[in-house]
Amino acid sequence: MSQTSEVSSPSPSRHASPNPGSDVAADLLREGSITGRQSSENGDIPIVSVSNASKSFASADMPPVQAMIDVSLDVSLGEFVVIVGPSGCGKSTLLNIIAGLIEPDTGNVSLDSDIEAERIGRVAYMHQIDLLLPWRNVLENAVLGLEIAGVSRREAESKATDLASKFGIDDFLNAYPATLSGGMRQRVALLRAVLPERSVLLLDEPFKALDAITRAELQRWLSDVLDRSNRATIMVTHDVEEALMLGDRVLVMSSRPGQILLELEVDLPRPRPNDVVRDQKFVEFKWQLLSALDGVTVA
Amino acid sequence: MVSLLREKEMTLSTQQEARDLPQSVEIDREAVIERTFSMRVRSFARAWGSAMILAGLGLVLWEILVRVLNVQTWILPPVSLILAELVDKPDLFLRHAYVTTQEILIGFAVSITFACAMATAMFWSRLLERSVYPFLIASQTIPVFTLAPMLLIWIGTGMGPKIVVVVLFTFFPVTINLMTGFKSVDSDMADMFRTLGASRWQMFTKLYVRSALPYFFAGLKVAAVVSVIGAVIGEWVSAASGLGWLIKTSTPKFQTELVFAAIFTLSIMAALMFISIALLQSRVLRNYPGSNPQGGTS
Repeated sequence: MSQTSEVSSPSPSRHASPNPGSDVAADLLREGSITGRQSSENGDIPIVSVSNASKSFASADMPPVQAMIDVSLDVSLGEFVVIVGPSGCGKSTLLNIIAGLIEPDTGNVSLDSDIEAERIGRVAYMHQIDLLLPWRNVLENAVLGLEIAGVSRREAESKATDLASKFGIDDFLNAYPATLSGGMRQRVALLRAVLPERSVLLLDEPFKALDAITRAELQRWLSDVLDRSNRATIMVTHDVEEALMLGDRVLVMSSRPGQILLELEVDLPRPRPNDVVRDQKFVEFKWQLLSALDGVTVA
Repeated sequence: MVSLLREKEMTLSTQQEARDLPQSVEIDREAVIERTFSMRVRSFARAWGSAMILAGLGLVLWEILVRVLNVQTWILPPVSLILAELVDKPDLFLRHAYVTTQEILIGFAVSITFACAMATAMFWSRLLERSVYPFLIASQTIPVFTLAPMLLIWIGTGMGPKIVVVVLFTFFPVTINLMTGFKSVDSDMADMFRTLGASRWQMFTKLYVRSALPYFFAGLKVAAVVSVIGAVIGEWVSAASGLGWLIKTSTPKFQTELVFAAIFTLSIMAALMFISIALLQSRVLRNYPGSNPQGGTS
């Protein structure tokens, strides 16, 4: 598993490097906060580990629904993993399990290789809908996580303000969510999620509720704004192109009950420009994913 | 934290708008204040104007009908006579209104305290909620009017029994609304707080209390109106002063215009309480979407 995560790291030279460690280091982009040696160390131990997890939901007047069966997934620091699957395939269930909101019926989930430890509150989680508090302005919404963590108001606000321009929301800090567009609200929601600096970030179809143009813009923005070096990111989507634009590794999940059908290393260079969709390799990947989603066996 | 935010929200919207403008457009800032003031007057007129016109028409119709049909004043006095009564004896009505207002306000305060404590306790304990909630509902099937004489036996003749009756009338709408507010919190929101690592107390103060505020104010408005009825019933059974007592003692004496003048006073008191709460609500909930049915009278 650890091997997979290393190879999957995008390489600027466009070729999969035989030496995973240096490859990651070369790609540890803008902040350059982690050296190659550290990241290869980090790469050895998956920070998120899900093994053979199954979950079904019982409800009063309906037969129990099997949401996912036997799902295994390891994600290392520095990795961006995308899970793609049809709507209602249990992708959100998987994220809820990783976040610690629910426990699997069978199987194990661990953060930092610690199965016993509570996961809730240790994972940054951004939902499909922004879930901004309508009575707080943008700044007050953004600092919610820090506020809960006990960071002083002043420090929290200065941290949020520092990042606000990078997130493109520095002009709206005093605005209330009701006055913002859907795209802006999602940016604020992401800022709120990342400010507490957790090493795992879960994104549950973060752009689902947006129109196509805003969506494409935010996809590009997300890959720019996220410093992936010091966190593991797991995103869920039903959009194959979105998955290939953003992911180092793409997993295909079947419709209910959710199972992992295919795992794909996306060794396309970063940053991935818009016209990457015309790239031969991209088209090939896309076809593989779509075939898997159609239930066609891929050679 | 909450109080800090509220303080922020209490600032007038006009001041807010004016302050948000750059300093360089000094003249325009004045213009904005001017404009928002006239907008406020207009929106106030829009919100209350039609009701006031209707009330005026009703009173005029009353006056005309009583005079045209030549109704005896001890059966139904014309409006002009009732108003004259109010103008003639302001100290009489003020004195009794003062007593009744005291009963109402103390009862109201007790109710709010009780409702907050109750709803909060039920939020923290499912067991308490399950066991107490049915009795809360059942308590409303008791006709308070029949209980009032018993209160006289139990507590005596002072202000106590009147306050108790006010409480019996007002605690229910406030408690039920608060509880409904706590229950109405979006489960995704609660999950979001949990993933941020919020403790139950943090969720309570930062999410549940804030979400329940519109419900709380809705309950307060209902309570404000029925609190007046409660005080009158309390005074009906035994009292030496108060508007309820005034009505009760004046009716057998056929001082009908005095009775109606007292009723008018009570209505005005209820309206004033309702309006004060509505104003407070629109200040506190300025940033809650769709929670200001008066459409920006704030």
